[in-house]
Amino acid sequence: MHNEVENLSKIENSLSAINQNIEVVYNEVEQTNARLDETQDSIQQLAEEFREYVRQDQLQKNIQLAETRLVKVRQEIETKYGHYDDVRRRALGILQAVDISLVRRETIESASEEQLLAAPAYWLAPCLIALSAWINDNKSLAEKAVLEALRRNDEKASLFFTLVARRGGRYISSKLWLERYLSQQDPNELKREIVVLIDAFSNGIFGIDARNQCGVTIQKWIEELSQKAGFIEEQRDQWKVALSAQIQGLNSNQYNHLSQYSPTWSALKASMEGAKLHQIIFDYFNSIFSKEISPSANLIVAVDELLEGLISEYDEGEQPLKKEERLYELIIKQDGDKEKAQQLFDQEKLFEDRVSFTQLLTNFAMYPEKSNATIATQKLSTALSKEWINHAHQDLTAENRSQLPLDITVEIERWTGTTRDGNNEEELVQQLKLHIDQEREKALRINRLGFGSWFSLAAGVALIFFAIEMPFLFIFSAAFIVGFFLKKYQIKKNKDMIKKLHADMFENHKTILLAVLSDVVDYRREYSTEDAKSELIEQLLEGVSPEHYIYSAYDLNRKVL
Amino acid sequence: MRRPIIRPNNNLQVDLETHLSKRATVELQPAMVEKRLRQKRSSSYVEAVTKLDVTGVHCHQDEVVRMIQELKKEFPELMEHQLPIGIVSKCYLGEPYEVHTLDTQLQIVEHYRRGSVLPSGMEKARILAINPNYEFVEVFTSYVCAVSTSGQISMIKG
Repeated sequence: MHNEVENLSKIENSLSAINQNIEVVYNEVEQTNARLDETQDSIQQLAEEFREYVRQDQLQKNIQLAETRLVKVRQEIETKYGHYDDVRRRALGILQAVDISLVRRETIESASEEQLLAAPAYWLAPCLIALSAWINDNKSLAEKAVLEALRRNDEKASLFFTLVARRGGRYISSKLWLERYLSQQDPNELKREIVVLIDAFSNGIFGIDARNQCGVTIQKWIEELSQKAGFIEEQRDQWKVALSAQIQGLNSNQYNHLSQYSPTWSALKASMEGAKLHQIIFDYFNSIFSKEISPSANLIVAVDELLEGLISEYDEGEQPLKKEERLYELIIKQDGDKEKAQQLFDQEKLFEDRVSFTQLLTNFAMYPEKSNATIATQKLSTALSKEWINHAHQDLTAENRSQLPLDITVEIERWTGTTRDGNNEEELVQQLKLHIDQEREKALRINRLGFGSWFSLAAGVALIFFAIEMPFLFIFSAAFIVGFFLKKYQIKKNKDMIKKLHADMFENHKTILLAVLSDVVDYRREYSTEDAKSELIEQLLEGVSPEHYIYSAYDLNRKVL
Repeated sequence: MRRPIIRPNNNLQVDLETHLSKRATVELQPAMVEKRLRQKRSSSYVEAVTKLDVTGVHCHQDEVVRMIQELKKEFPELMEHQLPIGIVSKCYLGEPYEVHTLDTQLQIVEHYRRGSVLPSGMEKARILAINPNYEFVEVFTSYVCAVSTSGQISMIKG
């Protein structure tokens, strides 16, 4: 019986020893895990840095490539279509030479004929012949040349003669040519040179009849397009894209702590950028309407400017190269981001062969340089599109508001808390304290005397008994016992250190938390200030009316659209 | 034609007016639905929806039915299934309530606390509903329409 109890006691001791061993191993595994996590984090960070480096390098290469190709495309445009420039210059030259009567008719005639030979298939060349025939009073030749010009490009030739007749004060002819031009237009599929017509209209180039006719046509086009199911919605989407393209990146330094310690930051950043868009859009439209129109010295100069635009900007042959040119320009502008540049290029629809009238209005209002629109046209286009702009802006605003995160997560190392407006400081500090207390307890639990230490003590005590017979064992006994107490002292020191570290950690985290909460308060305040500016755009556009933006200084009759 | 000697009684009035419901019989195409939903809401409708909240935590069933009638009257062109799933608006009962919903299918008005999830896909409208720029938000199957005090619509697809 005594033996059995002894055996059981031995088993119990062994089990206890195993248990302690397991605990030691467990603690070591935990420490290894912690180290592994740290290593993984470092590797992850390194990988991210490497990926960013590769990306930056690629972007840089894209920029260099785009710059080289841009030069090449521009050279190609010059080589292939440079000779058209000669014809273009002569067209205006002939008109101006006739004004001052300094060139002989024969010279004009021979110069025109030379151009016809030099630029085969170019629509402007027979127009020059027609012009010189008109000046020389050669009706049959003029008719033949006009027919040839119309055969080559009916729309452009009609528009050309509309402007030339207007320049010469032939109102009826000008109106007839305009009628011919307008009758060929489908508001769903307009060619880009229509900007010349709109420019002529908004800058008050036409006579009263032609102006009325143009105003009625524009109104009719808008009505016709509006009747089409889904068209207005498409238009609104188009405006949404155009307005969103104005978004500017937010400077993260302003919310340093929030950006660093909140996983919600990316959504917050996007929302703030969306809210700041109101001011940007307001400034944009406000600048359009505040710009003074500087009218040309007289009607002839104004028409010549339009004619120059018509003959130099819209030749289909050049389109593919001009498209390429624009894409490379965008790649450079987007710092080498090809995808973004392509996306913007697709959205702009600046080089579509045929676009709807409303799409053209968007282009004139938002991309005046690329669509060659004057400030008067930009004003008129914005005024005509104001309803769509307003609706698109309202939708964008609602989208942005719906994306604004209600609750903001704060993450400081392994602690996570949530705030809505930064006012729950006390509650979060309590949560943080609780978390750090738990962390501390966990650290303290790990940092305790292990099996080895207890074994050392037990061995030291046991050796005392053996040392009675073999005194030299006292040395070992003492060594074991001293080892135990040294370890115990070390553990106590560690514990004090852990407590201090956690107390410091709490203070440090608390400071960060308060800074984050302060950022949250500032963020919410700034967001509501920026968001409230959404009203500005509606107020600005409310007072805008198309009839105010048709310049009419060249004659005294105003047209109300 | 000779005049009748005995004149017919001109004062006799027959009331031929029938009170037909003006519900749509032809389903609108999605593009047309969108066009319709973008139209400004009537002031009487906006007022009716905003009044819903003042009745307190428990809304009387008659009130709910009347509101749903008002909703149908506002969108006579839409078929039953094209009408809003529900309406979400800011709750003025104060903490802990944040928003309340009018579920048009269950015909019930319910108030929701901060953190509790709105049913029937109406959760996406919560943030717009608590925005002071909008009076209430209509939730359709494919659209969310935020309605301002003047009845102007801001629309989000999805």
